[in-house]
Amino acid sequence: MNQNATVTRKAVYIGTIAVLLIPLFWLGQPPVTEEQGQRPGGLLAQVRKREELAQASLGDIDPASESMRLVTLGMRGVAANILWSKANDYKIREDWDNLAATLNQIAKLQPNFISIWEFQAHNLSYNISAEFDDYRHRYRWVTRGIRYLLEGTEYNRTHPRLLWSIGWFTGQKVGLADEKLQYRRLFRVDDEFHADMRPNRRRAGIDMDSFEVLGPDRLPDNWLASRLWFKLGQQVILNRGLRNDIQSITTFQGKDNITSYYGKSPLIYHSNVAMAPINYATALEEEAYFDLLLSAWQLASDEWDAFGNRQIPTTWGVNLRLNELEDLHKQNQEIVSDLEQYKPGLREEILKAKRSKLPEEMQSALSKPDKERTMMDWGNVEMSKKLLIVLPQEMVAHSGFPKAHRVKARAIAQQASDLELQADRIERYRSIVNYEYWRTRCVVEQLATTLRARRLVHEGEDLLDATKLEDARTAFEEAFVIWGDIYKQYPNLMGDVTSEDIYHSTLSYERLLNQLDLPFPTDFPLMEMANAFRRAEGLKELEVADEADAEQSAPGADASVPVDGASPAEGAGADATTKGVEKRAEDVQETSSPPTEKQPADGQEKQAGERQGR
Amino acid sequence: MVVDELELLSFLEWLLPGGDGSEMKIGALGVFLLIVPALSATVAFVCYLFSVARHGPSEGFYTVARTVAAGVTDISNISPRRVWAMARLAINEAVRRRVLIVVAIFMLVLLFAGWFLDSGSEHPARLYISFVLTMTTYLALALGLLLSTFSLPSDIKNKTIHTILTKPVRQVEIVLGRILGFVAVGTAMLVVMGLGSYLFVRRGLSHTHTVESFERVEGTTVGQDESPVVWRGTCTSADGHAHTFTVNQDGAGQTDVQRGHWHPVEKLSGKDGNPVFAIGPPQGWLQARVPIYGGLMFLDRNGQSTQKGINVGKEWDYRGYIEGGSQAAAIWTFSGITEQAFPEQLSLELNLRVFRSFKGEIERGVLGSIYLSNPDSGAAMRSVPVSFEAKEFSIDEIVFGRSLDVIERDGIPREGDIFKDLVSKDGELSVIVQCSERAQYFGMAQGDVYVRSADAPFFMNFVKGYIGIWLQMVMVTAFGVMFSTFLNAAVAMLTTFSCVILGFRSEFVSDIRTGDLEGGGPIEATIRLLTQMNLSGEFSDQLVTKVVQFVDQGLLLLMSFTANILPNYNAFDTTDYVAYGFDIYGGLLSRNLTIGLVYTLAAALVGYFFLKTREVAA
Repeated sequence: MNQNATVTRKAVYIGTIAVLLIPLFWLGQPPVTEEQGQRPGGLLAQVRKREELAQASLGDIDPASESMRLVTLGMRGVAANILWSKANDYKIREDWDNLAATLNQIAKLQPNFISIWEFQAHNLSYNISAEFDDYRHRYRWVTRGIRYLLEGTEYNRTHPRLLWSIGWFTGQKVGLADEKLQYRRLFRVDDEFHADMRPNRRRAGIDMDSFEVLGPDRLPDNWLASRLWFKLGQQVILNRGLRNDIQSITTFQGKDNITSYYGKSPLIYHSNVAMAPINYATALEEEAYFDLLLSAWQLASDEWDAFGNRQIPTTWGVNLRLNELEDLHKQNQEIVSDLEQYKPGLREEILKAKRSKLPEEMQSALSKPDKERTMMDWGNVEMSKKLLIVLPQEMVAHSGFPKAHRVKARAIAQQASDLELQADRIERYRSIVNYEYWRTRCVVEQLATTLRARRLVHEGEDLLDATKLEDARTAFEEAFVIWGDIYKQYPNLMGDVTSEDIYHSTLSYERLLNQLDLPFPTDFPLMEMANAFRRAEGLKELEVADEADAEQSAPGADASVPVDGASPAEGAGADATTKGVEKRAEDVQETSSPPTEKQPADGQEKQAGERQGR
Repeated sequence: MVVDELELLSFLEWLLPGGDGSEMKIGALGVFLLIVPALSATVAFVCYLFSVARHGPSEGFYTVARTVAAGVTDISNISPRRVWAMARLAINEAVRRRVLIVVAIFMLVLLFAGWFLDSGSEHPARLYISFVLTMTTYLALALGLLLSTFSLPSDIKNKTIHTILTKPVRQVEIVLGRILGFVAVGTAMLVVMGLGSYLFVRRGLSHTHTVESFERVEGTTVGQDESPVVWRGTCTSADGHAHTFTVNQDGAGQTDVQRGHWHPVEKLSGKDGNPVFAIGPPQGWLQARVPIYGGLMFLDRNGQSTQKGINVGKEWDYRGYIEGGSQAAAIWTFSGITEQAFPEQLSLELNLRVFRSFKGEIERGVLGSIYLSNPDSGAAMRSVPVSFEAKEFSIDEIVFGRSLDVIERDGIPREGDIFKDLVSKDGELSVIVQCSERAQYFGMAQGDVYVRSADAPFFMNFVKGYIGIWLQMVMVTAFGVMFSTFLNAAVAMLTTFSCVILGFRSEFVSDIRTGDLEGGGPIEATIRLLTQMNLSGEFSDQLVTKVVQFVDQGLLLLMSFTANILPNYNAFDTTDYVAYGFDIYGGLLSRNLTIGLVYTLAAALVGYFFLKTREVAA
């Protein structure tokens, strides 16, 4: 009896174990990816594959990470917490070697926890690098942070956030830091780091030998590399969208799914791709690589246009394209004029009625000419504009609208309002990325006159540094005339960061005139822009010289300075100066050190950097 | 470079009252003499209370008195032979319990350790050394813990203790024998682990480069009409770094310093047109510098003396900062600077921090100046300042030749001699560091500037590092045996383990108690964990909250009291010294040895009394 019971018990145990093995097998079966027969494997393997976790197949298992997770016996959360607090302690105590080692351990404990990679990479590249005084050390820690992210892609090969972070760090941290000139210079020749950025069997990478990455001196450029990283991220997102949404394969609709961005804004994600070449071109301007500027701005322009044509998913659940705005406005206009055809003059009638119902202060503000309007009036004008919009629905609902066409017209009005809504969304999105400004800028920067103006400003600064004051003055004046024309044609370029460089040059020009003991010209072509900046900086606005002086000394006064960049007429400035001033200028030239030869690339960068600092 | 937040004191300065110059301090010996009677009296009183509860007031008193008297007799009659016999028993038992597995684990970990160590580290030597020392510490502590806590309880449980107690053995000899035996086993294993670690570090760091390219360059003129040919070249990359090298005319040369090491280079043969170079093994990262530390004081921007520098906003106030372009200065005063020790020159090493309040010159470091001064002359007699560019996170060496230009009160430089003009009669010398650039700052602590004398052998320093680990193991073993005299095995182990944790984290406990760290005491923390509430979330103002916090305060008080009585294991950890290449100075080692010994003896004594009063052994 007893023996029977034991046997039965054992049998039950074995049976239970066997039964339990079935779901275990179903869950944990490894995938087979051989030629003979592909099997997707158990549920766990499938989830791993779907989430693109690197440990999906046996060959990819990282022994260090796996053994570390094993030895913590399921307590890895606790272990990670202790290590995290240790890392923080090392950071406070400036023990960087141990900090870096601890960060590696944390990441290996939880290799698929993206935030750890992001957070600690930021720590390395931004916080710790700043602790060092030597810029070369700082650069090393910046790259260390990027390397940390690269290592993260070993475990999360196609996670868009990691790829985005690599792009962001490579671009922004290297290219926009205080030490950007030095960082960019170091980046160009950092062969070991370039090697780490190349793809290999284990991790994601970009082709660092591609012409798309090569900048000045045919060496890799950080902005161009960052662009490729962003592009890689874009690719991954599109693939994910495709996979997440089976429907999209057939419909090609909504494949750019917002969930594929893992919390990043799609608009910003794609704008980064387009901003990278713009930043590249701007950096070339600062570093005085004028020969490469045109192609750089062409690339920037193409990329910006592609960004405008890209379908961008939104949180409203609809996708939009930034370039669609003009079309939408046109369509909307057509629909509204169609509606007006049903009852010509109705719109004006409604408008008139609305206007008469406006409060008195608004009416009086509207009736005043611009010059006489007070701040309050302007406020009222803005308010009244909103009240005076005549919506298509209002026209259809108006008693004067022909009843016979109302049903059809209502549908048309709805369509117009939908278009209006979409246009409104696009406008909002455009303003977030300053879309129009960059579009114009990309176009303007490619003009021969702009390129020449940039070159002239740079020359002016160099000549000023070399105390060749008269030559500097000529270069500046010619440049300012061209810039004046550019701003006349493209006024929206004026109040932006780019014109800040030009504004700084006007300051140099002012200093130059002071040295030459000359008054500032009254019809200075950039007077409006310069004074706007001066007001913002709390500086005194530019002094205006006497009429007589102005006629002689103004660079813009001589119409012979052509915008197309031909050399300025001789004498425009020289005639204006008195002999005494000329003598003084010569004195300066004689007593000061001789001007340096054309600088090599580094020297140019240095000068550019010094200018930047001023 | 190495960070020691304690004052760097010699053994006698630490031990004796007023040794460190201040009158308030009573020295470690004074503290010991104060605490021991107080603690003994408290313990005796508590024992008396227990005894009263069991036997009544007068009988209780006699029981305690009898135990103490018997204790005195027992201790004064300890027989080394019997202790050794007990120790051998413990050793046999330990070996029977297969503790050698720990060594196997250690070797296994070493085999795979390479995977975990960051090959791209700037200072691989530091990483390797701190890794092996830290891992050995953990294993040694675990070993001590497991060995010591299971033995006595299982003997008591299996009644095998009676076979010993029926022999003429005193309880104190049982306790001492156990401790000694387990320590002997632990020591043997530590020796094996130490040798293993040393080989691991040496092997792990060893790498070879080969010559990649070289060229002949015209060197600087050495003699009058001599123009030696110098070779310059680059090495292949190994372990993520590459060197450049130079070789002078006599065929000897060396590489540049990368990641804290360099290689000797030798021109082997071949004609000048086609020479062959041999690159030697890495040098310079397994070091044990012997620094002479000095006392540090600061001058503020107006030249007034102050104890601390400026805090530039760092969380860690280990270093004080001085402002550049002002009278602010850091002054170290070194003693024991003798002509015999430094016949030729005086080598100073600096490890400063820089804090910039504006960008300044990005491409070069902040400038500073350093000069020597005679402490007796009140800075009137000093050397001509040497200007330097601050290098952070690396050791900058500044050498003052024996004869140098000095400035006296008249301000006119003249040629002088360090020992005649600048070192005071009692061998003291001041070193003054200033920052030269306005609105930039230098940060420094006592250990950041030192006089460097000859290096000690690295292996000996490594051994000293292991002595620190050994001491920790000894103490854990002693505490384990102590607890196992009156607790069962599992509880004894948990208690010892908690004591180790408390000893390591005493600062954490006191921070929690004072509220510097958020999260509350044990109960509050548990509630927060279970309810997934974050550290700074406020509890509602209920009675329950108040009760919990009240109980927590009691628990924390107990914990922090216990933590203060227990040894602070961190103080025994000298890993940083070995890893950063600094000799563990005699004062520190003897201080640790003394503390370790005192704790071990105290634990043995307490263990003995517990065993004595236990009925099973009575």
